[in-house]
Amino acid sequence: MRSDTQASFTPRLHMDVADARTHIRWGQWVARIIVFLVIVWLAQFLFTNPNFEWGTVWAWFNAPSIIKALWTTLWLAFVSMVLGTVLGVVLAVARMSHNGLLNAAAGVYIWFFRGTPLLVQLIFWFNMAALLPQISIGIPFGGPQLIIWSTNDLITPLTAALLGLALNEAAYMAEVIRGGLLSVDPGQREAARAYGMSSGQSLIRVVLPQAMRSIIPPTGNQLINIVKATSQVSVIAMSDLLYTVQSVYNRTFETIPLLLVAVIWYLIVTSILNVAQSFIEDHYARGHNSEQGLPALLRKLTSKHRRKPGGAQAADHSQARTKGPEK
Amino acid sequence: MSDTVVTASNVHKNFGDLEVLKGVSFDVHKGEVVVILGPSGSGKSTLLRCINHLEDMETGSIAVNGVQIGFETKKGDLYRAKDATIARQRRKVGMVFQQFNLFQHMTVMENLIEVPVRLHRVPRDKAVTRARDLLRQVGLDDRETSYPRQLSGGQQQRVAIARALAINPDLLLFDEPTSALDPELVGEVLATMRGLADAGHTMIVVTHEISFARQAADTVIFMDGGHIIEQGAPENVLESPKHERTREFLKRFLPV
Repeated sequence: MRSDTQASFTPRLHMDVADARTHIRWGQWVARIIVFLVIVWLAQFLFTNPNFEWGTVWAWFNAPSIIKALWTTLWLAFVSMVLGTVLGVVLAVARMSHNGLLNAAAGVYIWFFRGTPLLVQLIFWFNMAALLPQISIGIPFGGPQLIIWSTNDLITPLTAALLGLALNEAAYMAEVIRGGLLSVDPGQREAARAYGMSSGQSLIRVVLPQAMRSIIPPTGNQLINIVKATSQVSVIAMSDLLYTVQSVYNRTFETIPLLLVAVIWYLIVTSILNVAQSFIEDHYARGHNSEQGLPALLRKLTSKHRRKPGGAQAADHSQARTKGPEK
Repeated sequence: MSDTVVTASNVHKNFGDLEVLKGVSFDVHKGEVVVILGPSGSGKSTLLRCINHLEDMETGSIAVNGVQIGFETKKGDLYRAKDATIARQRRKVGMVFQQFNLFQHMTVMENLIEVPVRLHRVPRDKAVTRARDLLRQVGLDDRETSYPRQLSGGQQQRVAIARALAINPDLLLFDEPTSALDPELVGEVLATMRGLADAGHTMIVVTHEISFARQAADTVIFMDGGHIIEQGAPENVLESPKHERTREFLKRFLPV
């Protein structure tokens, strides 16, 4: 009978779900206690172990020699990143070109520089003079030489460091940029072509700005990587942050405190880069979410509502959120 | 005829071993609206894309206002044009795509003025005034600061039509402009296109919308298997088709 079956499936009591209680989750509590104990142990280790010599850390933290070394590290990272990115764009475009030789040459470059350790490349550049005692500009294959340099004069620790870092970075940036270019809908390039843009105009005005959205996050990683990778130039006696703290502790034997000085500075720099990255990401998210100007981090703090992914829902609400028509 | 905008003769096009166009010839006159109908794979979109040289072709010739897009003559010999030349040749041909292809990182206004300002050297304020007129014409004058993703498909396609008009085109190409739209959004786009036809634009429209062909076309071309099977006024081709394949095709669209 219908009324009977209905009755048997109906709960006897209707209770407001607002009064529903939660079971205690024992696993969660065990995890919390373990993490808490680890934190307490770490704090005790950091503050009570005298070998950290925190006093020495703070004494050296902003010593003039350390600050100078920090600038060298930052400057080296910045210039290598800029050079690497410019060369990376060229390589990425070459890698995607229909010209077979160009394409293959870019492929070989990327294969070589990604396939060998940066440390080896740096030492190699530093010892360039052993391979090529002189560098000259002139007619190749036995023609007259116009200008001749001694390689030893050209390759200083600075030029070797820049060459090594920038050429290596270019190989990685080429792949990052190529991935970004491939992520843009081919219809965008086609529309640009149909409306009479040259391939250069289409790249700069249409494809690259949209590719930036997927290029920025891995580029942020690359930038953080290169800040850390600069520490490898200490092997060719370039006075970066690591080399400088090493030369201090080789004198004073305060190894751990001085390494901590370097660690803290590296962390400060990479944290600042992280925040900067989220600002840049937002700039290039134009047309993908309607709120602009605030980075995701700040927006999460200031907004009560979670951001909705995708544009479908945004379409319905966009009018309220975007600026009204100019009038 | 002196008012011919497009002349296509004996166009052949292969994709690898597949012959998609097997000798197609037709003329389009100034102010004429040509609707190309035909089953999927009949070569109609490829034909449209050959007109502005988005696709290369094997033999034959297509001229738009006397210019063979993609080619140039020097001392009587025909050369494949350089990219910069092809880009210049395309600048008076507007194109509307199935997937809209609005520039996603630009607002509606920026989409409309990009090509006039950057490529045609129109002063920015003039381009903006013209863009506002066009947006009013397609009924989207309140959306100039929106990004394409914030618009419905129908709205995006109307913006794309306005973008095509913004270059003051001699010829408008429509590549299945309503095929990617939800059924309830097709009407607004077709209405906009009918308005353009009435305003005297020269248009070539590849579509599956028989009703649009009936109402707006001056000439209907029916294609199948890489050939033009029949062409003529819509009342002839659509109401009393001469060819069996045209009848077969139209039967599927008859109201039940």
